[in-house]
Amino acid sequence: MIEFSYSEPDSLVELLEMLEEGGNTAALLAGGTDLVNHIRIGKRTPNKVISLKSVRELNHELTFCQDGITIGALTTLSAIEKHSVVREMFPALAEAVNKIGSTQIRNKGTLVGNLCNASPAADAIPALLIYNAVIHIVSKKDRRTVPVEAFMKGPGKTDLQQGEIVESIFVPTPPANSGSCYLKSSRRDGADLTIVGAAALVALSGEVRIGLGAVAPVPFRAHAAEKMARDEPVNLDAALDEAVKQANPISDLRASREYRLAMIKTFTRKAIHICRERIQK
Amino acid sequence: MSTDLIEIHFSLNGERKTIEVKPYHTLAQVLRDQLDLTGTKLCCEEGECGACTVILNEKAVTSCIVLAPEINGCELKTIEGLVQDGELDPVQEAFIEKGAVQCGYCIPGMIMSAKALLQENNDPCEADIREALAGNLCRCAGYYRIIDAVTSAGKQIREANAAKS
Ligand code: FES
Ligand code: FES
Repeated sequence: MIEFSYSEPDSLVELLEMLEEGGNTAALLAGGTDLVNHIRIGKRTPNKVISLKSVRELNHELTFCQDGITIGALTTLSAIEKHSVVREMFPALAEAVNKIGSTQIRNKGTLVGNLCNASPAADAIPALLIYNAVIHIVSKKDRRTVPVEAFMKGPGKTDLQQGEIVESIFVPTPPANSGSCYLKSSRRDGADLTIVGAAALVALSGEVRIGLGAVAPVPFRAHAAEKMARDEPVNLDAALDEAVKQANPISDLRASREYRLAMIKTFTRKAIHICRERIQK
Repeated sequence: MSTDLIEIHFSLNGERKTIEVKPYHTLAQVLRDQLDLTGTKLCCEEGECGACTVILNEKAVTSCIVLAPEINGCELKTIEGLVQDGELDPVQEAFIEKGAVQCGYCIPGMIMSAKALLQENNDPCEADIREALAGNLCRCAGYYRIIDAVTSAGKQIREANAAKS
């Protein structure tokens, strides 16, 4: 591995100062499950690694209020998937997070880190999309919020500018009388990358939300399909064709483009059925 | 840029330790090359195979993707720390008894993952065990006996607890 320095600032001010100073030779370390690998394979070559671990303003915990939950920059994936409020109120998020990596990875990795790496196949992002999650960003000068839909810009690319960090993710409470779920297609059950990831939310009011991952350069909301599924619930098949039109998957060693396109319909349909069952409960 | 040694303090298998580490070394490297604790194995070195699993603050993690300075202030347990007063841990006993060990290379990692699971839940169902061990690969493919061993270790632990109370 290349040589780099390591620092552990203990306040946000100090962190943002270091980040500005380091410019693009600095790398932020949260869980490190991606960063350390990226450094090892030479995908990233920082000369300074800045750990977020001791920054007192950044949260390891998950906090909730009536309006929703806030996931801190240091909240691990394990903490999220095991949280009773997440399991009960945000089942698609709990299910998606549970599909990321292995237990060891989830014990160390953070959701914010996962989001910032902006993998097209990231499991949690379709779930964040259907819950209309909002990203809180902070820099030395400013604070701003961006809907998760606008945060992802391309494979490995986000809306984060030089000197900015993600402070937290806010996930609003889903509509009353709704059900949600996340399904993942992969070659094996544990610790495998996603072929198609489908998150859905269905409300008694008729509202339908669909978030898809691993079938385009960034996970996306299938708005046209959602509208059709709401207006003509009996014609789900035609609605799902709209979702397929919006996708542009690649072929890789995990699956061909054609297989992915076919699986969008299968998995989204299944996810919507599960959502409907969940409303009843 | 200063790549000088960093002093870290942590608890290693119940003992306090202060050592100096390179900022760009991984925990696995430090354990094996600096502290001579070679029970922790290295294989893929990318967090995929689980051979290097240790228990950090009560949670199983793969030490090949933890940076050494990160463990400052943490509590660390490695396979070497499982023996208590010369007695093997119930998880180790169960692996031997169930014949779960073939070449043995994956076993320290398997045992640490199993140990972390049983600390949290000493009555796991098979699905819990499979999930906890999904990040540990055994290329001798002795998975069934490994699952048997973890089930049996859980039972031993519950019986021992019941006998105590
Ligand atoms: S050597 Fe660490 S996970 Fe394989
Ligand atoms: S016993 Fe040989 S790799 Fe598991």
